[in-house]
Amino acid sequence: MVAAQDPRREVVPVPATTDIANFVNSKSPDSKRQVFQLAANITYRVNALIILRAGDALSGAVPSGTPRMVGPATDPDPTTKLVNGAALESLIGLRGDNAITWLDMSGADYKGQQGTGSAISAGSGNDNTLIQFNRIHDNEIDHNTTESAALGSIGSGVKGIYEYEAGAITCMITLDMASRATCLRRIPL
Amino acid sequence: MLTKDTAVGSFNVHHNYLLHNGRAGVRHERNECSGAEFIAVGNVIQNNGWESVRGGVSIHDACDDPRSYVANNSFSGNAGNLAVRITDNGRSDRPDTKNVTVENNTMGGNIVKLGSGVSASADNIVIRNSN
Repeated sequence: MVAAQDPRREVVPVPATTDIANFVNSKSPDSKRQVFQLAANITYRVNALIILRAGDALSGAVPSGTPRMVGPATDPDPTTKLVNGAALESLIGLRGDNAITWLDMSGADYKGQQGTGSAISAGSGNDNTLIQFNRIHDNEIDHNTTESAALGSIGSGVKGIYEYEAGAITCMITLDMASRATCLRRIPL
Repeated sequence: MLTKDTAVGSFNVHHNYLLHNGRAGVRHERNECSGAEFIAVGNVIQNNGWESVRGGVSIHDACDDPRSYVANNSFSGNAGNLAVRITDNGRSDRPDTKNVTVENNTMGGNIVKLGSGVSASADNIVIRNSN
């Protein structure tokens, strides 16, 4: 399993006032493994999909104190927040062997394509993926699966997938001149 | 990008708070069966599925080897009272869901539901010791 604090990763602080997506996306293609370390008690507005190169990590600040336990589970209560600043369909895209830790993430928006509406889109996380000590909430879809355009999509906090998302109902579809989909025949799962 | 040669890996969701998401808190789905695993452990998973009933954790077409493992999570308030929803598409070109263990969770009144075509015995679905 991938470790959140992998000593092979070089720590890269992400300034509180920076455009986080631009910052990470400009540096993540570097050949060395990196952990992008975000600041405590800061809300970063995500204006473009943050894409982590395989092997890289994104981490918020580790809060002081002991996390609250809820039964056998942990409420991590992270203080570093990522919010959707541009009506994005996902906030973070994984490319494999990534770790996402100590972040509060919300607001991913369904856009009518498969795989949208997830805070973390792990569809390309082709190797080991670790998602730990995060608060992932209020990611949504604007339509439901009774609409053909929403079929095959998801509004999850986290989505891990190795091909494509199948909705609650699979349809044979046709597209009209405006590329609007119509469900010809529904195939219940 | 996943290829058939690099399918060995793991999808680990540990100690998160997954709250009020439109569909599942976590969705795990596969298109092949070789050597990967899904582990969801120690998460608080509450009030998800308000746009579509998929429950707190949705496992779909996942035939992971060794398994999908959902343990020590705390569920409550998920739509349809679904803590974990285990489903299979039924399509011949997709994996058959199997090898899922759900144990030692606090269910908070939520349940584990198997979809049609998923058999606890034939597909090695183990559900135990949750309250």
